[in-house]
Amino acid sequence: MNETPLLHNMSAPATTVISHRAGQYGSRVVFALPEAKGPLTPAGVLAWLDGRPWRSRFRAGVRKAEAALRARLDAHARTLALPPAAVVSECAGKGDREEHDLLTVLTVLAKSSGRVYLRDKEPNLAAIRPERRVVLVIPPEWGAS
Amino acid sequence: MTQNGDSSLLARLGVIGMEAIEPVVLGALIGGEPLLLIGPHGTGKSYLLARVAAALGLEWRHYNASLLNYDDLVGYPLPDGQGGLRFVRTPASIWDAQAVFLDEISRCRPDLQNKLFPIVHERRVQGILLERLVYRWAAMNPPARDDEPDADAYRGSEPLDPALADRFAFVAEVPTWEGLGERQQEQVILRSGEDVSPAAAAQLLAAIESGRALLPEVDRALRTQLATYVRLVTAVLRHAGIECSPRRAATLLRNVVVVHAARLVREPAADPGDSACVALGSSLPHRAAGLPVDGLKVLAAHREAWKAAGLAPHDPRRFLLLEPDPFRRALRAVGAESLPPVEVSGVVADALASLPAGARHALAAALFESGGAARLVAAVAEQCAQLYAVVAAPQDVHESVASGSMRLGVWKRVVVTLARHDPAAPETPLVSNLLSGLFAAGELAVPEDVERALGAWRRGRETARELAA
Repeated sequence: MNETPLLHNMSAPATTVISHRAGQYGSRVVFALPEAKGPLTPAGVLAWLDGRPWRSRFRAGVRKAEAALRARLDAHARTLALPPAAVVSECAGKGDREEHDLLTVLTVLAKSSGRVYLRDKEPNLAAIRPERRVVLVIPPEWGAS
Repeated sequence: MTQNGDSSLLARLGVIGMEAIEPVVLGALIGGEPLLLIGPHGTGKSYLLARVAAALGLEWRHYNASLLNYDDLVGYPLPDGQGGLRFVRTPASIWDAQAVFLDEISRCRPDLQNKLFPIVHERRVQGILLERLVYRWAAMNPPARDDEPDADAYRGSEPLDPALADRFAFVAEVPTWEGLGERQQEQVILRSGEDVSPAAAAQLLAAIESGRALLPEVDRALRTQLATYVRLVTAVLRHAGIECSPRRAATLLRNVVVVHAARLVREPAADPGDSACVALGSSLPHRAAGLPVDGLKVLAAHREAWKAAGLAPHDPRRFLLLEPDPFRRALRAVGAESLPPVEVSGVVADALASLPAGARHALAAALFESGGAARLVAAVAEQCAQLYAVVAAPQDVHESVASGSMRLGVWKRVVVTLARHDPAAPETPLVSNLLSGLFAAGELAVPEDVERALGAWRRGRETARELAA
């Protein structure tokens, strides 16, 4: 059986396809957690950082661990060679630098939303998740950390 | 702030519905300041002034400036036998007047307006001081404006020469008939032509004397704050397109003092800020000169200036108030370390809302490149981050558009514009991302928007560099 070939629809307006990719500005640094060695609870994260189980000098508890972790992250944030505010990019590229220091990764994750990293923001411990990855755009003025 | 009809001095004189301008009228009487009333015909301008003159028992002259000859003012000149001239005084001449009312001043011939100038300004005629003259009043219909052809406009009412208008300390708009309440309208109808009651006249005289007695104290208490207020409010008005002369600034200070004294007579707890607002509203000569004055802008300027005048001299909010450019204001706010993040963020958010595409991206870029974004509250920092991401992150455009469409025309303009940029220049990726991002977001509606956005971006970048230097 012969099939009638489809005819071009002459009533459809002609179209032009625009395709363009603009350039990268500054540099990007990727912050992602390595595979966790235990639960990502505040006490678990502190234990991961210190290489030994975390115990409060006082009565141990979740709140104490949270406060200790927040204090650690805040203190570390002030030492980072990152701008005090940086845009979070949705994607990473081939040449992007990856940060491997665990405390730095934890700090950036806890102080970044989906759009922005703010050094002086209260650390959000719920943002420390194993699958999460943050890519910061660093303007040329600040160089790469 | 306003007085009700029963307690109004003017209402007791039979002048109904003038409560809004009563503090101004009383202030002008207390200070002996020149007063110009503007309003449609039949709104009681002449009636008000005639009642006041009658209540105060003044020897006054009511001239219709549209019909006036100079001889009517000065009398007839005769040689004095010593090589000079003397003027034969007539009942209508100005020499012994305590008050002069120049009605229809906007219909007066320009050459005569020039001769009225020294009477209003210096109480002089032919260089001779009019020693008895205290009160100088005038009235006019709203001047016709070339840019507002209106069948109801007063075509014979010409804008006053700005220099003459500036000589009137107070320029008050009288309430219109439509602006009166039903009861007030009926009172106007019922009480028209009543004699001025001696009690009402005595009350007006007593109020003027009390106000004059209060003047030194009010002046002493408010002078410093008012000087700051006047400096700030005139600067803010200038940014809003309402220019005030240095003379007007000095006049405004005096006006606030006399209006506050007038209000204190009637209301011992009167707030000086409200007095300043009332005085400012009737201290702008622009309306008489045919220049539009946006009442909301004046009110906003008053509020900002009054608030700032109460701040410490080096408070950064003062210079923020005086900065008309939202881009600069935002960067200055970020640089003012004593401002709390919430206030900084408010200024930045306002700037982002008012700046056009390109400029707001340049502001966001400046904030992230300088680290200033760290001074913002999270919500505003996120807003800036979203804008900065447009220029700093690679923007992909992949779209099928109809051939010959406006959208394709816009894209072609983007391509042509980007082709003019040096690929190696550091700013090129930012510009490329900006235009691609704006195109993808549908913010470039016509080809000219490409140049507009790029121009706004460049001006913003230059401003940021200038302020960072």
